[in-house]
Amino acid sequence: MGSGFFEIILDAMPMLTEGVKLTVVYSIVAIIPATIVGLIFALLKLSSIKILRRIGEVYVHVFRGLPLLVVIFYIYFALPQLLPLHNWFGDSYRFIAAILALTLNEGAYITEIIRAGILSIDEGQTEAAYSIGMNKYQSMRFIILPQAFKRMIPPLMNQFIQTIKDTSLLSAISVAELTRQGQIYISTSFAAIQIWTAVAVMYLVVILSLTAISSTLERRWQNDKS
Amino acid sequence: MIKVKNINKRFGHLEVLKDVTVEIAPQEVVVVIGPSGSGKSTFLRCLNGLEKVNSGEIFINNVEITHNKTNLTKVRKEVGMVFQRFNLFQHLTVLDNITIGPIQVLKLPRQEAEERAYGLLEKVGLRDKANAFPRQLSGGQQQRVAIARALAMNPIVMLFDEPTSALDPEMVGEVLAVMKDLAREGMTMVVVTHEMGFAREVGDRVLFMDEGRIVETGQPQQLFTNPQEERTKSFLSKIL
Repeated sequence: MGSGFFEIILDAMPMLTEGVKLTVVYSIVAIIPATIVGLIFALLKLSSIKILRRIGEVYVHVFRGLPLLVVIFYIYFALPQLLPLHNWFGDSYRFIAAILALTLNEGAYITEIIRAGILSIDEGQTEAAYSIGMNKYQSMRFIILPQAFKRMIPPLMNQFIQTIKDTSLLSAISVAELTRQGQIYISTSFAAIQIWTAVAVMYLVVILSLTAISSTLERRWQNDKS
Repeated sequence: MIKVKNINKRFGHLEVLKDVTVEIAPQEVVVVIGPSGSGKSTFLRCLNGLEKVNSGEIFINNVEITHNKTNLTKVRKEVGMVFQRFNLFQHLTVLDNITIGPIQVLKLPRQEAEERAYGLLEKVGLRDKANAFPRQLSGGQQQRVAIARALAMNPIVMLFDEPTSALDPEMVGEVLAVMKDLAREGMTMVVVTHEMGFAREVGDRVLFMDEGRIVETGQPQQLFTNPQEERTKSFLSKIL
């Protein structure tokens, strides 16, 4: 343990890199279904049918109202007592539970982002779409969503960043993502300062690269189509 | 062509249309005038089902559009509408604004839809703007594109909801010119407008609405020079 600051970090690097990989993988795998879930529930919340609207509202209230950590524990520890999930899925249940918890949680926020995006489009666009004989689906698909999507990029990017940070909570069910790898290394080395500094920097690198990509995308979209 | 029978429309407690009945013949150009809040825009919006009536019946080409089971999207293919605020699709080029209906709704091949669109752009004098986006156009140009977009569906009726009210004065003429051409070609038109000159020149009939009712109707010349109702007189005296 007599090594210097950077030597310790260098020694921990392979583990931490593994952690970053998992952090990125879990984030991406969760963001895609979360966006789909968000779109579905946003459309439910905007439906003209009351029951569908209620379903959308309940979903958002529940999963925005619960701490993500509780959702993770519930799905990973509580649900298997009701259903033989570990028998069905074996070791992969950890992965499934993690993705499910993240999807449900992020999906609730994305629902609101997409709903707000759709509502921000002028009513006149829908009326014009209807007036040329489009049905609800066509009007959403060809007129409203393409315009709403552009406005949703900044808040969606925020949510994606939030998702990356939220994966750190998966350390509580021993998913070997970046935070968990840091913990493991510290537990034998006690190099808290070095490792948490390295972990923090690595999160920042991941998130700042995503931010850079998103602003490039945003600028391109803005120039293209307006 | 259009038959409106005793329609009533309420927004909450507010009665916007009271027992409105009117018939519009093929190729007729009907101009609807009246003070703001008189229900004329609502009346127009009922004609393509953008607003649902509370009671009464509307027939377009003998199809009752107020019937619950009527497929409104089918009716709307045949009823073109032009809005006060143009409502062009902001994310689409002029060409795509015009072709998206024919392609997605009428299932026309793209090439055919584009030929039709270019023809219509020629007609409204904007062929060179095919690849522009709506926000790059002036109000008058946008409204002409909006007319072309509605015409691309080959409608049997065109509804105009104050098509020149949001325009700078110098752009009103170019839009009215396009509408006059349309009227001359025999398009059935219902036009809500404050342009009395247009009403006089191309209107076959003028409806004066006030407080949700059709107060008076007649040929433009007769209604403008010799109105029968007190309310028509007082309205005309303020705007003519």
